[in-house]
Amino acid sequence: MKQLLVWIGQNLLKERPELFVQGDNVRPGILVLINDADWELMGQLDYELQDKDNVVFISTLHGG
Amino acid sequence: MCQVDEEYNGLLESPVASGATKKCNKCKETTAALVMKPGESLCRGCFKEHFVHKFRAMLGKNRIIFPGEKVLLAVSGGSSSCAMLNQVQEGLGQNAHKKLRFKPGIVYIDEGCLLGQSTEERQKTMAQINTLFKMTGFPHHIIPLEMVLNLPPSVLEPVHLATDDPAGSYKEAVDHFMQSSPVHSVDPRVDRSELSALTDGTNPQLIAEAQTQTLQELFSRVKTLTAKEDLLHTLRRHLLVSTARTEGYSKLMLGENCTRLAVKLLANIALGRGAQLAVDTAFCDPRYGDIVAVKPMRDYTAKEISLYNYMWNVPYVFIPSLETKTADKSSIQRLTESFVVKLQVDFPSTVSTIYRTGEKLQTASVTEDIERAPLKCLFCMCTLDTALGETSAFQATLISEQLSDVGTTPMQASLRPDTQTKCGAPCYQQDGEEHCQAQAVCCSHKGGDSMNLESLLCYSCQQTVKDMTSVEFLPQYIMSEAQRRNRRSQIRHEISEFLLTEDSDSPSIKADS
Repeated sequence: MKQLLVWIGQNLLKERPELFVQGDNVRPGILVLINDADWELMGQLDYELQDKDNVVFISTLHGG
Repeated sequence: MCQVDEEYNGLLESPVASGATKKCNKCKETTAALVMKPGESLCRGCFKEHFVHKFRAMLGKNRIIFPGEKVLLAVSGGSSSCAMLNQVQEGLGQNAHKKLRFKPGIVYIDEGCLLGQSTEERQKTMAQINTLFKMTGFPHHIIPLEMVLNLPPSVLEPVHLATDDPAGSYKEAVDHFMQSSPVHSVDPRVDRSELSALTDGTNPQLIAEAQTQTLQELFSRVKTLTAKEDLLHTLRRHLLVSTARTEGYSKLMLGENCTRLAVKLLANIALGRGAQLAVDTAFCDPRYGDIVAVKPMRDYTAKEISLYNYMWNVPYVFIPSLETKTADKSSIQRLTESFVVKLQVDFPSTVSTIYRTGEKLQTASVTEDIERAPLKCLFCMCTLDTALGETSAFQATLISEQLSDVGTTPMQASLRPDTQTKCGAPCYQQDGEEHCQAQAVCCSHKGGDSMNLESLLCYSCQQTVKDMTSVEFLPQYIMSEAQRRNRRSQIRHEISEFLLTEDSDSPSIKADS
């Protein structure tokens, strides 16, 4: 997962990368779901991505 | 999280594997899908049950919403308010266990003028919102923020109602409702969209260009983002209350979640709103008198709401706000938010601890006697916290402000009240203008009509106004109400020696301006 985040930060983010990635972790306030399950149950950054895994990033900071 | 060193690689495999097959703490059957608190994980089904149950419990426990009552839902389009809308829909649905029984309406305030959005962008957003609202079938209103300029000054006065014992009347109301209409159920799914005279604005072209300009001018006069946020919040509230009143709603439902409220609690302390903490964050906000604002989502963390919305495809619209894409330190609110959220990552009980502490604050009951009721702030309509004694912290800030005053801006000078208590030196007339004997310019007036806003505002609203370079663009209703209150207090002061002491059996002369 850690490598995925770094990769996203370098390749996919067009503006303001610090709003998504901070250091080698996501910004606080962003939820990560791996196959519709909380990544905390999978070991967060240490989780090894498998083939056909579905990763979703949800921001909790906007709206209300 | 510990560092992943080379030698630990082998040992790390087993914890990860057992995490993936963790069972739900509640039903102990299905695999867990999300972590609520450390040590408590739930599966999807249990999570949904828990979510719905919390909503019903929040409404049922507080017994504020009477059956058949008209309730206005303030939907900003964001995840929390859309989750609230979804819960209300489900709760009112025919097949719900223990149906909710009130009549909802929805309101959305379009703030695009402040974000520099073009008319096309605003129209696009409003169309999205409109589609969303139409799907619910509830009467809805989409109002541009410019409408705040048309509000009557009466919106700033709380309306007092004669209230009987609320607990007793709730039970009676429920029984009465059950008996009178057992077959005919409240079906709010009427297929019409009520757009009243106040809301002729699904069409932004109908908004006068001048009004947009005025609002933009007003906000450009505000120096800091903190003050802008505060001012926007005030205006938004006024508009919501006014809409609720005109459309005949008696309750207002706001969608603020637990995380948002925890941030608000801390930010309010930083803003100087310590005296109003209880009212700002409690479930029930009675400050407007006839319209009671409730916050049914206050027990849900932002994480729960986002996950719920994702898992059950609750539609919501992303609307940028004043704080979108701003740096961490751009405003007090923003800084507090990033502080709390960051802390939450490492200490997952942060938000709930702050929330529980806030729950312990109680709102004071509304005084029935209008004569003896304490004065309210012009902007936020909470009790004024500035009429304190010589030894209060507020007096100390005033003194230090005075002492450190080298040269005041004309704005600050006209804000100060024209009494002698400040500098001790008497003011005297000279050439039609009042001057002060002391060196510091503390009571210079521009003409005869100084807009004495300061004494009408609570401490934090004063700070907001002080951050403005000029008050000339404040909406008309605020200015006229301010003038009215000033005149009243002036007249009261002038005839004070003629007023009898305020006993219940002796008449007092009321000064009416």
